[in-house]
Order: sequence, then C-alpha cells, then structure tokens
Amino acid sequence: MFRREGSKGFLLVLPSLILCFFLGFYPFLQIIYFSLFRSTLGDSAPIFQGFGNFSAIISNDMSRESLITTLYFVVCTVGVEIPLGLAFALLLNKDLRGKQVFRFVMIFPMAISPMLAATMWNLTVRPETGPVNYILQLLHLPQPRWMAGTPIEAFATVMLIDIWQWTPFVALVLLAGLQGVPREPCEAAEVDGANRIQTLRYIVVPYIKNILLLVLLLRLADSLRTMDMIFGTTNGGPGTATLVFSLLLYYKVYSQSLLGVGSAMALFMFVILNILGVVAFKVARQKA
Amino acid sequence: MKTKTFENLLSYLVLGASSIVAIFPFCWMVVTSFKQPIDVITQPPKFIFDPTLMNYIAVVTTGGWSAQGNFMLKVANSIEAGLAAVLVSIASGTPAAYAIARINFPYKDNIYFTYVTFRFLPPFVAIIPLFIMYGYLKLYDSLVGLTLAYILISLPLTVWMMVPFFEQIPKDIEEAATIDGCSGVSLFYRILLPLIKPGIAATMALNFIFCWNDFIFGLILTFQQAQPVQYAMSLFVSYAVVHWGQMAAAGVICAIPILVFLVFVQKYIIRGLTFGAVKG
Repeated sequence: MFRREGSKGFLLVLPSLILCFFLGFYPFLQIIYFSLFRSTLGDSAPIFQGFGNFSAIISNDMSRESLITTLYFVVCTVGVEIPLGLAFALLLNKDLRGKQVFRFVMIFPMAISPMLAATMWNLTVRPETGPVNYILQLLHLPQPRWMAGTPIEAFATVMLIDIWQWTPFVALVLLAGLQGVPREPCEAAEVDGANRIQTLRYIVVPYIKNILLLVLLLRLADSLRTMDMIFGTTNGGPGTATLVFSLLLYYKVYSQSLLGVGSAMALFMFVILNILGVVAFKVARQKA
Repeated sequence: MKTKTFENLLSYLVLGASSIVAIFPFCWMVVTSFKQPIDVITQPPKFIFDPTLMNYIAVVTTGGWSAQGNFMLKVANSIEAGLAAVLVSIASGTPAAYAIARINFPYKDNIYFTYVTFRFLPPFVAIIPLFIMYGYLKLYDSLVGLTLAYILISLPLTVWMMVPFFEQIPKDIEEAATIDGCSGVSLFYRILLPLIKPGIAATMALNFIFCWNDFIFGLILTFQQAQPVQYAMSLFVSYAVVHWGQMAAAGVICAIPILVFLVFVQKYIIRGLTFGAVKG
C-alpha cells in the first residue's frame, strides 16, 4: 500500500521536478564547473585553477570592500526593520477601528518591485526639485542631497528605501504571529504588576520567537542579495560607497566578462543563503 | 479611561503618518507623470498645474527618452512571458503541492526543501549558466527564454502557496469520495479542484505579480526584442536626467497590474513571501 502511495506521490511531483532539474540543478552543476576555471565569457581555453577564484573573493580589494559594504547594509537595514516592524505589529494588534485600512496600505510597498521603488524614490527625493527637500526647507531642516550626495548620504538613502519597502513586511508577518498569542498570560502579568516592556519581553516575545526568527532569516537573505533597488538609485556610487556584493558580481560578469570569478562569487552567496534557508525551513517546520 | 483614548489617538497618528510615508512616493509619481517638462523641474514643486498626457504618449509611442521603442511592447512581453510561466507552473506545481500535502512518499521532505531553496537562491547562480546556455540554444532575448527563467520564480511559489490550501481541505471529504468510488484523476477534478479554485486563482495572480516584478532575469537574459517592463523602466532611470515625467509615466504603467491585483492577493502576499510558512 505504502509503495503504491509512494509511487503515486513521485508521479505527481515528477513534472515539476523535471523542470526544476533543467532550470535549477543542471545550471547549478554548470556554475560549479565554471567557478573552478579562470575563464572569461566566450573564452575557448579556460585554465583550471581549483579554488583560486574563491580565495580571490577575500584577497581582491574590491570584492572584500563590497562584502563589508553589504554587511553594513544588512546590519543597518535589518537592524532597523525588525524592531520597527515589531512596533508596527504591536500597534496593528490593538483594537483600533479601521485598522484594515492601514494593513492594506502597508501591503503596497512590498507588492511593488524594488526597481519601481527606486523609480518612485528617485522622483521624490531629487535634491533640487523634489518635494521632500522642499518640505525640509519649509521646516528649516538641513536638506541632504540623497542619492546624489556624499557616500554617507547615498548609503543612507538606499538604506532608507529598503527600510521603507520591507518594514511593513516584517510588521505583517509579526502581526500574524501576535494574533496567535493568547490574552490570558498577558493580562495575568499586568495584574501581577509587570509593565508593558516586561510583558513584551517575557511573555509575548517567547510566544512569537519562531516567527521572529523566521522573518529575521528571510530579511537577512533578501537584504544580502539586494541589487535591483541599488542598481536603480545610486548604481553602486558615488565611487564604491553603495557597491554591494550582488552588484559587483553583476559588473564582474557582464561588464568585465569574468565568468570564473563571477561564478565563484555567486556560489559563495549561495552557500551563505542556503545556510539561512536550511535554518528557516527547520524553523517553519517546527512551528507547524 | 482617559489614557486609553489618548493612547488610541497616538496610535492613529503614528499609523496615519506611516501610511502617508508608505504611499506618498507613489502619489508623487502619479502627479509627476501628468506634468509638462517645465512643471517638473520648478522649485518649489508645483502641486497645481496644467495636466498633460504628453509623457504617456511619448512613452507608448516612441519609448520617449529611453529610446527603446513602444513601452507597451515591453508590457506585452512581460504579460506573455508571465502568463506562460504561470500556466506551466500551475499545471506542474499543483499536483506536486497535492502530493506534498497529502501523500507519504520517500524523500518528501527533501523534495519540499528543494522548492523552498529557491526562495533563498541568489539569482546569479541560475542566471550565469542560463545566460551561457541560452547562447547555445538561441534563446537569448527571446520570449521562450524569458518564460523559462520566470518558471524559476513561479514554480516554487506555486508549490509553497498550494500546499497550505490542500492541507486545509478536510481528509474526510477525500475519504468519502473514495468510498463512493471516485478516485485518481476524477477525484482531483470533481472534488478537489472546486475546493481549491480560489486558491489557484490567488496563486496565479500572485505568481504573475512576482514575474512582472522581476528585474534581474530580464536584465541579463534579454536585450531588446523580449525586454520586460522592469528592465525597460530602468532605462528611464539611467537616462532620465531631465525627462522625469516620462520616467514617472513608465512607473505608473508598471504599477497598474499591482494595483489591479492588490485587493485580490493582499491576503496571500505574506504567504508568498514567506514560502508558505506564515499564513498572514
């Protein structure tokens, strides 16, 4: 019986697995092969060099620098998004009339593409004629030059756009978690004289621990491979101030035709992201 | 009681202000898209002006400043490749999701995990080899090539989305149907399909949005013939030093399908983005 069931199961997943094989696994094997050679696009005689391309990720100044930039970017965005998202989730979890409207509005940033977000913000924070700087001027606040400004301004701008786009996502995921937290222990804690922070720290957070970890892993993964939005706003500049790893990878392969180096970089990212993925899958399973 | 009212007022204030921040850039883009070039660059920014359709006309006829030709052709590319990918994904992904949700078979967890891996895949791992392969297969800058790449987005998404839908259906229904002599294909078509129809519709819409939103696959695997919308829009970003109006018009066109489907998929978008782990 089990064998018949089993083969039926296999039969049903087979079509999708075949597609995955041709579009996913076969290219994956190929990229491992590419990464072991010193080769350029259209090169007829690649030179085998083992793990040289991988060690170059660390030894090459530019890629090391971009790794550090990426790390800053990840820490700064995710570090803001998670607490801020939790705050919004707590707000939306209250008994407020019309909160569905706010929930709906918050869906918008995460539903659009990062490239569209880049376009919208390019229009909104233009230094000379954008409305945001105009409002700042009215309020007598300093007017930054945003993506066209200093390295720090440009970095802060891409960071803010990422936070704008993904904080609502964190908030809504955590809201789903908060809705599963029972009322009684929270009320009991309040009766016992716990303040809000204590209730949050010792009762609510343990309840949503798994979902918090899950959203953290997802945001880490997404933030690590951010490329579109930066491509559309600062394009890595000024200089290399916002040149994150994915963007450098893009330029290595498609401007400099460095196939071997690019493949090694892509695999390097794959390993890191896959570790996050394994943990996330485990966490998601545990919850169910 | 008084503090409660004050607190609620404060909550509304914070939520209201955040909502404005969330949609202001979009509103500004819409406003800008109807401005004449001269009104776009005035300081202070104009809130009242003579609206014009010239930006849209330029974008949908010549491609305006991006010089890439009719923007609607790119829209058509995205729709065609997106729909084809969605249909293939639904056809192959739905049975897989059913098997994962209902049937015990060896290596099930590994297979499920394989689909989840795609959520964590750095796009370049797939793109670099596909780029080389497309060179041999003459699929570079073709709609078929773009569709195949989009399947990488929509097939795993279909599986994540559909597994919880199948899990929601009570087992008794299937058992009752089996006792009544309904099984296999007819069970699927007669009993399950009507029950998961709303799920399939939501999954299709979400799949389409995700394909529509893709930028990187289009950027690398197409050039001009099969160029999708996001890529075409990015060309306005890089060239539009002065033509902000056209860039805004292209952006608005890009946002239309999202707005159309948003009401419909808003319940499921969290599920889609969290590989089905959070129902949202």
